[in-house]
Amino acid sequence: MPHRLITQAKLPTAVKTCLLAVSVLFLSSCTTQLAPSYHNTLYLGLVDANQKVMTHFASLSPSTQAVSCHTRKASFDNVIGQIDALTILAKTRPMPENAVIDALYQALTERGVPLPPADEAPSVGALIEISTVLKDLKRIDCEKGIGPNVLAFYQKGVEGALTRSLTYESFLVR
Amino acid sequence: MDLNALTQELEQTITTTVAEDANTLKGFSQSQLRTFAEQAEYLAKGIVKGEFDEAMQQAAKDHLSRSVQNFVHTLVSLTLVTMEKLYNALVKVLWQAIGKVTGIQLV
Repeated sequence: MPHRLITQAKLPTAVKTCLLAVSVLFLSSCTTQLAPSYHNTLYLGLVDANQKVMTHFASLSPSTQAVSCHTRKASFDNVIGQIDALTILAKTRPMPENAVIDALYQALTERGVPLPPADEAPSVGALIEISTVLKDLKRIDCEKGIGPNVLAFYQKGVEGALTRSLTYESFLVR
Repeated sequence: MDLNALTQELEQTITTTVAEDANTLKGFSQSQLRTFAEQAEYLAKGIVKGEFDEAMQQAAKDHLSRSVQNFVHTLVSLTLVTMEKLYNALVKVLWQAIGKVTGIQLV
C-alpha cells in the first residue's frame, strides 16, 4: 500500500494546535546556559572577604617577627574561616551541564591546558588558593616570621585570586 | 522578512556583545599578568635576600603555577559566559524576526 502524504491542510485543528504548541515550546527553550547563575550571597561574601583579607595583610606589613605571632593568630583564623566558608558556598552552587562545555574542556585538556573538572567554577580554585596561602603564612609567621618579600609575594597572589573570583562572579550578572 | 536588515541586526548584536566583554577581558588579563610579573620580582628578591628557604621556594613556585592555571581557567570560564550571551542574543533576534512575520511570540 503506497504511503499517503498528509498535507498540513488535511490535519485536524487539534493536531495542528498541538504541533504549534510543541514547536513554540521547542523554539522558546532554545536559549542555552554555559555558566552558573549569579549568586548574590557569594558575591557579597567575596566583597566583604576582600576588605577583611586586605586589612589583615595591612596589619602584617611590612614584615613580622615570630616572637609575636600569637598576637596575629586570631586575625589569621578569622580570615581563613571566612574564606573556607565562601569556598563551601561556591562549591555547592549548581553548575550547568552542557555538551559544549564538556567538548571545550576536553579539547583544551587534550592540548595540554590544565583545567579542573568542568563542573568547578574558577572561584572555587581561587578561594582554595587564598586559604592555602593564608595557612602557609600563619605557619611561617610562627616558625621564622614573614619577610617583606615573602609577604609582598603572597599578598599579590591573594589580590590576584580575589580579583579573579570577583571578576568572574560579577561577570555572571547577565 | 527583510533579510538585509536582519543580517545587519545580527552583526550589530555580535559587535555589541563581544566588544563590551572583550574590554573587560582585556583589562582583567592585563591586571593579572602585571600581578604575576610583580610576584616573580618579589620571589627573585626574596630568594636573593635569603627570605625563602628551599621548601618555601618550592611552595612559592607551586603557588605561582596554580595561580596561572586558575587564571587560564577563569579566562576560559569568562569566555563561556560571553559565548552564552552571544548565542542567546542572536537567537533572540532571530525569534523576534520570525515572530514579526508569524505573529507568534517565541521569546
